[in-house]
Amino acid sequence: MKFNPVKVKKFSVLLLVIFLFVAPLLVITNAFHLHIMIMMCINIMMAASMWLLATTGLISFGQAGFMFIGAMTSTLLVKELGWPFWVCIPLSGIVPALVSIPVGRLCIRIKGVYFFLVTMAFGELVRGLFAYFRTPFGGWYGIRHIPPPEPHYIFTPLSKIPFYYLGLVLTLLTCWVIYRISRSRIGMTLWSLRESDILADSVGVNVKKYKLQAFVIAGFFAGIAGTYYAHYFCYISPLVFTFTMSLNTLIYIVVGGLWSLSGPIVGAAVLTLVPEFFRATGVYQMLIFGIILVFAMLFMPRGIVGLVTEKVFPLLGKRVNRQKI
Amino acid sequence: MPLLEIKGLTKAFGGLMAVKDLTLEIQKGEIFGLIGPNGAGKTTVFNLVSGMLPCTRGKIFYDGTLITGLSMHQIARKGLVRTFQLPTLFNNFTVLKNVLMGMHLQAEVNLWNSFFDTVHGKTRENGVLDRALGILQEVGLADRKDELASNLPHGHRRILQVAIGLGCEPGLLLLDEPMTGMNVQEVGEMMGLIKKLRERRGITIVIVEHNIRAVMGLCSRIAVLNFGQKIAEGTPGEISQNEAVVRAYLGGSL
Amino acid sequence: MSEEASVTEQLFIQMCITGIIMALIYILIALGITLIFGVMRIVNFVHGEMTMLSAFSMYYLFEAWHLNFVLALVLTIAGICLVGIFFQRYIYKPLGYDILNVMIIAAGASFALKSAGWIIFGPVPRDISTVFPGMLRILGTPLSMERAAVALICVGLTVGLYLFLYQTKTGKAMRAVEQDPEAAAVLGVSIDRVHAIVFIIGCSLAAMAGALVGMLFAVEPEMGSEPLMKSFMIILIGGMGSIPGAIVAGLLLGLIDSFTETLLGGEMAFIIGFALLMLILIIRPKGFFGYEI
Repeated sequence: MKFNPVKVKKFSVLLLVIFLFVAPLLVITNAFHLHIMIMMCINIMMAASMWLLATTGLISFGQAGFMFIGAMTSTLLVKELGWPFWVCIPLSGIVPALVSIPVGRLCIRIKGVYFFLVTMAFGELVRGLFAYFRTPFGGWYGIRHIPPPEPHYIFTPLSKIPFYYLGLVLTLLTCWVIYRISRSRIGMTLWSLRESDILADSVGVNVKKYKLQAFVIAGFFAGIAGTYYAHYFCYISPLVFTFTMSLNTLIYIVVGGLWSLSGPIVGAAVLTLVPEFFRATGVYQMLIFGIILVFAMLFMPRGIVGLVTEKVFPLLGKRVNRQKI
Repeated sequence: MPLLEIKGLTKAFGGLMAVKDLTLEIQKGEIFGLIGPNGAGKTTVFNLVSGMLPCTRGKIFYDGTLITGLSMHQIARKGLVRTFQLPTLFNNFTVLKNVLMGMHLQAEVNLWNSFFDTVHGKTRENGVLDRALGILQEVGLADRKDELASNLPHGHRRILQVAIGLGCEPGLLLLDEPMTGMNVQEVGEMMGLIKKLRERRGITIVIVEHNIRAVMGLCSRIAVLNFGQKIAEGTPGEISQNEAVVRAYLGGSL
Repeated sequence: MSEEASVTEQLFIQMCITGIIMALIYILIALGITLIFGVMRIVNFVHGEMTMLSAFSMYYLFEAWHLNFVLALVLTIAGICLVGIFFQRYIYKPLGYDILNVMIIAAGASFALKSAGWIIFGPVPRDISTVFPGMLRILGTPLSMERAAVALICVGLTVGLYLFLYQTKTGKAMRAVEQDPEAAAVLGVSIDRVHAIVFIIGCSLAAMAGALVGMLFAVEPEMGSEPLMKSFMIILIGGMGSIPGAIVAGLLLGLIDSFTETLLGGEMAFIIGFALLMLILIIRPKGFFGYEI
């Protein structure tokens, strides 16, 4: 039997997508399980967007900040100005994307570890600014009673299913866009920056421009994830979009595997489920995450996806494609 | 008109003069050698000309246009490409992908194109693929095109570096110690490749090398640097007779 | 009229003193991190948690089990150093001291340690009773003996560190490795040994800082995070790897912090701190005196 790995992969992804669409009607009907799936959507969106930036070699700790900006944008537009949610969704991606342009311009000049730190400072700065100005940003108390999306009779606080579908669509859209970009020549160029940005520069790649593009795209999708968060939980505050959240997102990527988009997706999905498995929340979750990160970095340098591709697939008789990127 | 004109090039790192008032002219179609003892400033000259470092003083003209102050990628766009002293490659890419990256300028696609995979984008990309395979054929790496760059032996890594540079379709190629770490056979292959590049593609080449025999064999003209200054310039024959040069190499015979 | 003046004067002096004392403690922590960075070119993110563990250790040994203060201190420092060496050998070294990887794994470890602290010790803050009772008066402002003693200890340790680095053979070896590891190795310096010693010193400083912070403030699992952030700001502004830079930047930041906190409120201090940090990183990532990464 002919075993075309690419066709198999595409087919299984299609199956998965169909399953996800049908699941709430058949399998996942429990509200709590739906909530987990919704959290997974948020985490996957954050992880995928941060991943695209990471392929250029830039690890940004400010993603929570952009998420916050996106959340705040649609919250204020919907709550204060009464704009419809569906108009605000693209805006809540565009506003953080616009902010990320000057921020990115300033930060990308900075090398390695310092970039890490300056984006972290940026994330904290966003929190601090939103915390300082009680009006209109809600201060440390945050903003409550954020209206859910219209139509209100569908998106009631009781029914999670519409939120699930909304999240699914947003997540699929996010992943599809990022996938297309990463598999295109642009994506290859972004990877080359991680491999050797000097070499890329010498063959004519405008390194700063490409890094900025990745930074802006990451900010855009972080904002969209933020707005989804805001209108699902109906409450946002500086205590939510912390450095810890950015670190969590990084953990999804590192544990899942950096080398392809499936890494952050798998990482986010698994690490959203694992704490639930152990009924771990709060500090127990942090403890598990911290330990998992340490182990993953020491023993799974290519993440879960890497481990599976290199160890498990040969056992199944699948030929391991040596090309890593 | 010379293809590359360097006038009064100076680079100071604090108090240290890495390059002092260097003036050179490289003619189109020649293979020009740049030699000198370690620390003479040869790689610094490459770094300055290719735009990796800013000049303290001086002007550089490529094909008549002023390129001082431009960034590396802008200069590469004009046709001036350099390779690196260390075997810098895209290690986790395949050999083919390395060269495809080298062809970045030829495959200039923007976000919109590549996202929606427009026909325009696709056909341009296919043209690029064929040319990349052609380059690999030319340098002799075609049979290793799907191997990871990090798995290549040293000699082939150096050749791949040159192949990547070729992807830019350069008019001028600056090769920084392309033969370091190679055995006699590999040196011969590299020399053959360099000659082929000049003859078949008309590329002008400036080569920094420590392998004096190779330099003598390849180059039509040579300049010698010591302590950042040019101490001699001329044909291989003239250089080998030059006393100052011999002294600079501390009695080493040419 | 003179009484009013003396009240503002007092406030001013109070802010200065608070600023300086806080600065000294942050500098102590910063010195440990900057030393480790200078010699090994890695950022030890778990420094904050070491401070926290040290404070808890002091609490249990000295306060709860009534060991002699000095003995408790020695045991604590030894314990923290063991933790540090463990990290260095089994967690950082396998990653080849790659700065980004070390940062990530250290962030994860600090996460784990902090949560473990929450789980084991609980959120209730503890207090370590004072070893230095009494009050002083400086320029008419009251100052607790404890704070004065802490300040003196910090200064003493800083001076001690300086003497160690510049006067002893080991210290000089450390500075050699800091400047050029290869050259130092050629000259016969054992790099591994120097790394171990650097870590021991760095962790000892963290442990001391933990004990001091525990004496002055509450002992609780979150206590490591804010000093760590502040220390990072100090190091980045003063320059990674530079000790005089850390001192200068530390005093500056301590005073700025103290003044903004009193006059403008906590959030503003927060914002100003991070805005300043971003500014410095953007304009001069090396800080005043620091090393390139």
